[in-house]
Formats: sequence, C-alpha cells, structure tokens
Amino acid sequence: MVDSDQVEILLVEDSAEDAELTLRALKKNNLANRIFHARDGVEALDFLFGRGANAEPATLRMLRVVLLDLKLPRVDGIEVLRQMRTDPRTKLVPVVVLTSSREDPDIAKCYALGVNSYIVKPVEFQEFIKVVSSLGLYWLLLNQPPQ
Amino acid sequence: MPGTFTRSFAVALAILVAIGATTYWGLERIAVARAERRHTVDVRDRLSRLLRALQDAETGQRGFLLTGQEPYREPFVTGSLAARAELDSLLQVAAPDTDLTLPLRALTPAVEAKLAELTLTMDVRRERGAAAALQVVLTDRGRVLMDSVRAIIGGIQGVERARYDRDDVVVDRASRWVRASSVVGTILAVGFLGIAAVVVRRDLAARQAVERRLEEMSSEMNDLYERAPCGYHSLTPEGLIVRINRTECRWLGYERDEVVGKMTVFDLIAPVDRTRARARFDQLVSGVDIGTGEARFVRKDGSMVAALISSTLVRDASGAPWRVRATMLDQSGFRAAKEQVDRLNAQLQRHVSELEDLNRELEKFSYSVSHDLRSPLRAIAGFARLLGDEHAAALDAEGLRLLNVVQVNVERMGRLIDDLLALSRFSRQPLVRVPVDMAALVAGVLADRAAAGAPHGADIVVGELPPADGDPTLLRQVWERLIDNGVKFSAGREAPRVEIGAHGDHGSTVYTVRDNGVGFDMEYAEKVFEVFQRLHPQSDYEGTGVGLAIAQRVIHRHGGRIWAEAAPGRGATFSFTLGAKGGA
Repeated sequence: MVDSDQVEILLVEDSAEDAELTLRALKKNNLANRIFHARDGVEALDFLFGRGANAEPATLRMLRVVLLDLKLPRVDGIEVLRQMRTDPRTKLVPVVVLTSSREDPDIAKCYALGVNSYIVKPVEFQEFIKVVSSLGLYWLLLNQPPQ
Repeated sequence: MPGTFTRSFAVALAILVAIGATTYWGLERIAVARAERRHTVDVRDRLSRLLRALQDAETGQRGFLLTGQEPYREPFVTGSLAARAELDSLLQVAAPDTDLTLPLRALTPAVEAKLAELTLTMDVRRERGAAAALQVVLTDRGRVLMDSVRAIIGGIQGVERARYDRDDVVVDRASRWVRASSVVGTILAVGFLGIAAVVVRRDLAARQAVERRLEEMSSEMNDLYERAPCGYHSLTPEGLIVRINRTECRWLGYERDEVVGKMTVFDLIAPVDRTRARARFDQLVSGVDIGTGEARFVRKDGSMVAALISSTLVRDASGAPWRVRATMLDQSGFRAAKEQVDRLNAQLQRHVSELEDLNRELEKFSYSVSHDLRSPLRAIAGFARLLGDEHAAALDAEGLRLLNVVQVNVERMGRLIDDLLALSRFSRQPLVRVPVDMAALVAGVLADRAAAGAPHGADIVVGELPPADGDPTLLRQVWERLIDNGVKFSAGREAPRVEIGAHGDHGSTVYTVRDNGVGFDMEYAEKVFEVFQRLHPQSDYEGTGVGLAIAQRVIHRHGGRIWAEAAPGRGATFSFTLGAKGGA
C-alpha cells in the first residue's frame, strides 16, 4: 500500500482492465509511481477520509488529482464527488470525471457539484493512452494547485 | 300633409259657420218682416172692422130716422160700442207705430164726431120728428164726417200697405240670401271637406303603411325574442319575472304562465348560487355594472342547467330602476365540450408522460449500452494493442494478421455503438428552429474533414446554398453523413467528384449531394435509409449502416423529406427538403 501522504493521483475505477490500462498509460509517462487505486466509491471515501480498513486519516498533502469513474459499485462517483465537495479537506482537490459514455445523464450533475473536468474514455487504445497521459501531465505538472 | 288638412277643414268650418250665421240672420229678418206683416194685417183688419162698425151705427141711425121706432136704433148701439172698442184696441195695437201717430191722433175725434152727429140726428127725430131730422141729414154733415173718417183710415191703410210691400221685399231678399249662401256655402264647404278628406285619407294610408311596418317589425322582434338561441327574461327591481322568452321556458321546462308574475328569478336559481346571485342582482339594481356572471338554474324536473347571465338595468323616465333585462346562455353544451377537451387533454397528458417514461428508459438503456458495451471493447482494444506492442516477437505472421482482424473489428464495433447512440440521441434531443446558414454549415463540415486529414481525393464542388430554418447541430449531422457518404462511394472512381447544391421546387428548397460513385439499384432506394441496411459489402466500403438513417431521422424531425436517386455505376444523388416552420 502506498503511503497516503505521498499519493499524487487517486484513481477510482471499478474495471480492472480500465484501471490497468490507465496505470500503464500513466506509467509510460512516468507519472504512475504515486497512484492509489480505489475499486469502488467506498474505498475511495475510505482513502480520502481515513475510514474503515484504512483507519489512518490521510493528510492528502501531495494529492494533485482524483480520476473518478462514475459508475461504481456500492457508492457511485457522484456521491464520492458530493462528499468531497462538502468536506473542507477535499473541497479544493481537482476532480476529473472519466466515463465511458457521452450519453451520461450525470454530466450536468457533475458540473453542478463542481467537477474540474469531464473526459469520455476513448475505445481506441492509442487515444486512451493519449488522453490519460495528457491528463496526468496537466494535473501533475502544469496545474498550479490551490493553497 | 296635416297643414293642408287643417287649413281645408278650418275653411270648411268657417263656411259652415257663415252659412249658419247668414241663415240665422235671414230667418231673423224674415221673422221680423212676418211679424210686421201680421201687425199690418191686424191693423188693417181692425181698421176695416172699425169702419164696418161705424157703417152699422149709421145703418141703425137711418133705420131709426125712417121709422122712429126703437128696435131700428139697435144696430147703432152695437155699432157705436164696437167702433169704440175697435178704436181703443187699435190705438193700443198701433201705439208703437210712429208712422201712424198723426193719423191715429186724428182718427179718434173723427170717429167721435161722426158718432156725435149720428146721436144728434136721432135726438132731433125723436124730439122734432122725421122732417126735422131729414133737414139735418140733408145738411150733408154726416156724409162729410164719414168721409173724413174714411180718409183717415185710407191714409193709415196706405201707410200699412206700403209697409207690407216693403216687408215683402225684405222677406224676398233675405230668402234669396239664405238660399244663395246655403247653396254656394254648402258647395264650398263640401269642396274643402273633400280636400280635407283626401288629405286625411292619404295620411291614413301612410299611417296604415307605417303601422303595418311596425307590426311586421314587432312580430319579427317578437319572433327573434322568442326563438333566440339564448334565454331572455325581464325582471322587476325585486326580481319578479315579468317577461320570459320561449327558449328560456323550454330550457327550464316551465310553461310561461307558471313563471310570469308568479316566480322570482331567485326561485329558479340553484340554492348554492342563490346568495351570490342575489348580491349581484342588488348591486346591479343599485347601479353597478356587474357584467356577465355564471349561475346554475334548477329546471322544473329538478335537474340543473349551468348558464351564463348578462344583465342590464333599465330605468324609468324619472331615473328610478324599472326593469332588469337579462340574457342567458346555456353552458351545458359548452361544459360538456370542455369536459371532453379536459378528458382528451388528460389522456394526452397520460400519453405524453408514458412517452416521457419511455424516453427516460431509452436514455437509461443508451447509457448502459454505451457504458457496458464500450468498457469491454476498450479492454479488448487496449489489451490487443498491448499484445501487439509488447509480444509481437512471440507471434508469427498469421498470429499478427489475426490480431489485426481483432483490432479492426473492435474499432468497427466502437463506431457502430457510437452511431447507434447518435441515432438515439438525435431522435430524442429537443429540436430548435433557428435560421441556419447552410453554406457555413457545409463549409464547416468540409473544413473538419480536411483538418482530419482523411485522404479521399474527391473533387468537392459546393454550389449556392440558401439559408434554412432548423436545428444547426442536427442539420450538420445530415451534411456530415451525406458528404461522407458521397466521398466514400465515389472514392474508387477515376475522377471522384461530389457536388453539393440546392434548387427551388414548388416554393421549397431542395438540397442535394451528388456523387459519381458506384450508385445502386433504385429497387433498394428506400433501403439505404434503414438502420444496418447496406447495399455494398463491408469489405468494399467501410460503414455502420446507420449514417443515412441518422440523416433521415433528422430530416423527418424537421418535417422534411429525404430521398435518393441512383443507378448502378452512375453515381447517386441524395436530396432533402426541410418542412415549414413548426414541423417537429
């Protein structure tokens, strides 16, 4: 388990394949060394607020971006986003929603909740790599975090 | 003309009055003359009797003178008595006659002198005998006295005769006047009365004509009143019904006699509305304009009838409220229609919400198809790619070919899913109608295609494209699909060419995309727009079979038409029109 203090990217993704592809893409760009992968909303919230198995509350010092899938088992992405935006600790953490579909009726809800970006995952692998890499580059290197 | 009548009648009346006056005057004159004549005759008669009485007295004197015997003296006694009586009465009768004053004054002495002479001679006979008496007679004094009496009487009679004649003339003249005036006057009066009668007759005829018109109009008004398709009633300021038309009676199921003068309008209004109706009525009577109101009436059979009531207040000459007139419209039919409309609306609403439910379901389905199909597809594509990238060395040529087949098909499936979702989205997405610059739209599509760098080599010619009314996002899809289609099917030709243009047809604009590609048999012209219907093998032309279906869906939603004309090997032309504004 990666030390939560050191985590720069939180990837919330229930599909193991998508997660693997994402990690590979980030790795290719040398951005994947400090990634925490949550497989559903509950794991994500546990990581963020230090609940459950991961009893230690995270300081989130290094957290630069959350890559959030919307369709998740147990607690869905919208709920994760909502809780993040109501908690002062995570209120300002950039969130990029990754989803399979442009048809998602939750897009409007996400923006209303203050999502920073919204990305449709391309089917084509090359495209996918490109999107994930540019996301990582942007949020980790270019974007100036709040504070 | 009443003027002519009045004048003629007045003249006739004046003439009749004149005739009357003249006649009265004439008759009066005649009567006076008659009286005078009677008087004259009377005077003359008396004079004659006086003379006869004197002659009788003389006869008696002669007898006595001859015989000397008393009985012969008798005529003298009666004669002289009669003469004196006649003389007295004559004097009385003729006293007013100033003409006779002088002769009459002479008459009495003359008569008395004669009577004295007679008495004297008889005294002489009695005392001195017949001879002496004869001597006296012979003196002729008696004859002279008698003659003087005769002369006086003759004078009076002459005066009377002249007067008689004069009166005759008066009577004659008056009679003539009366005759003449009555004849001429009557003719004139009849004439003027005739004129008046003609005028009256004419006036009467005119008046009768007017009365007939009035009667006709009144009967027409009455007819309208009674048979109007709305109820009418008139009320006293207390609400008592004084007049009601047949329509309203029929609606309410009452005979007129049962209502007029017996019921108030409030008796007819349903108890629930009565207080409100009473208040409105009182307001109206107090001079407030209450406009039109609604009330439910109770029919004789107890059923209800909803009515729209318009009332006006009518005032009498002094300005006090006199009548309330009301028009009543039966609302039942209207209500029934409204209820039906409401029912249909509710039904429509139900269908709409069913449709909305269906749409929501479809949306959910689209999302889940999109998500659930794309995720594994992404995994297949990704891992196939990784296999190719990282384990190519472990695969022989056939292995690499098979891997490629997998990748190509994954890609195709991704496009297919995208197209299907697009078809569903463009079918559901709300349609906006704004002016659209079609030329700019096409230019945008071509610029995108050029930027994508897809080599097609076709010569694309764009003609003049008039603007249209429609949804720009959706119309762009149409152009994209049709242009891609044209480019795709002309790609294999020697000089591939796609012409984009428009022309007018019956007032609407037909937009066309023509290619010189492989074309198709017109037998399948309808099929090209069906989902998944392909006229060419997948291996020859890439495509999902959804593009033209999307174009057709969009055009239909605009209320327009899309069709294809083609021949195998001779290219195809796709044309579309957009419906009028308001199509959906």
